[in-house]
Amino acid sequence: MSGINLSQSAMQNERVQATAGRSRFGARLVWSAVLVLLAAMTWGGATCYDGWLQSGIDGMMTTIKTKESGFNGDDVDRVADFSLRVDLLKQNLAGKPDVSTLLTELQEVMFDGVVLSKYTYDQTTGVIEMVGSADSFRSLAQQLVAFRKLPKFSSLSVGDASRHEDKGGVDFSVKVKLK
Amino acid sequence: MGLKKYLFPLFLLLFVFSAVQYIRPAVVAVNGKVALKKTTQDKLHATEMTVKNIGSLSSGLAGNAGVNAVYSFLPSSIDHDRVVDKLNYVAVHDGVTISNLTFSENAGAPAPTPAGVPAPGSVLSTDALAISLVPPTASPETYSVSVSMNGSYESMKKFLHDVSALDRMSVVTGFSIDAKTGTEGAVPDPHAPANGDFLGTLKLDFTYLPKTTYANAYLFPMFATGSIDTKTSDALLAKLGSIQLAPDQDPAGRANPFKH
Repeated sequence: MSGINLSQSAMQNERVQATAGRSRFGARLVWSAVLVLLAAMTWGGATCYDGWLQSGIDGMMTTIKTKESGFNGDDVDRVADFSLRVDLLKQNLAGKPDVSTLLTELQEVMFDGVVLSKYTYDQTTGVIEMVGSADSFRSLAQQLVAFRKLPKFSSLSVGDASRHEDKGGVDFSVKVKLK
Repeated sequence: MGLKKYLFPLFLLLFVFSAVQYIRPAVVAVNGKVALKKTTQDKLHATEMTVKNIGSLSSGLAGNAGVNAVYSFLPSSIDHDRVVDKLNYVAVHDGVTISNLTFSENAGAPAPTPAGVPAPGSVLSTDALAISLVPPTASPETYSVSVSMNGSYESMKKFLHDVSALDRMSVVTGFSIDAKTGTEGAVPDPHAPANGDFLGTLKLDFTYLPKTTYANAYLFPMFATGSIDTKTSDALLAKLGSIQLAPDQDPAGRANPFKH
């Protein structure tokens, strides 16, 4: 009896195992199908969304190109031309020197014994050349020191200084470099 | 049964493979497109604003009196007639006698752009989304005026002051004052200054800016911002026609460096 029971039990066990095996296989099959479906949906959805985005971008680009065709013409020229002129004028007005101030500063440092006969200013070289006469070398030296003290002058060179035996006094020429 | 055993791992492998091979690139592409769409939307907005600003700025300038002042200070063509008129006006006021005026064109070609450096105003990239521009710079032209004159030291100094403050874009490039009125024994010059007067020369450069066309509004930031500098033009308008003539009284110091 016990042998029959064992045999029946074994057969039952096999049936249970077979049923469980089929059940596991079925579950795995379902999971696999779900995964494949999920993968296909993700890929398909992403591809469709990409296409939709691209068509939107293409539409906007076409609109941009159409609108950009109006980016030149009389209106643009008028405003751009005005703006460039204003920029130039701002620079010019900000850095426009009053050249008469050079003479004003000169007046303030002139010594009594010194008189000029010629004054030349060249903006391109930044050099002022002065020709004149002094009643003595001492006056000339004092005058040169006074020139050197002017804040706008950076360097000073004496071209010539010669005494007039008949008239007296000293003729000189000086070149000053502006800062 | 053996095949069944490996079927699920096989499906898993297939899923991982498809995820890496197809899904990931698709998702990356979508992310890129989302960013691109945002950029394109911004660009479209900027373009619409630019179109709107072009119209509003242009119509705003049409009714702005400062525009005439700007063109008066910096004309678009040579204006010898105005310059003669202004110099004569100032000279008469200051007591200077102009004996000669010489005009000359300054053949100043624009500075060449160094190799490898894009020229101003050029569009580096035509990609509408990543437009890359070199801001344009004006290419002004100049002409020179040489003035020969005579008068007293004081009048010449005033003349220099007033000419420096002309309501016109100009710069004094040089001047000279000469106390010598002639060489002894020389043939008398009918244009020589009267006794006690000085000979003077003056060189000025006057600038003008020829009109040109501009191919792309993107080159100018004001079309994006919608605002333009009108303070300068208003200031010029106030200055126009009112030359600040030199005061009669000089500051402290020796009145005339050419006389004891």
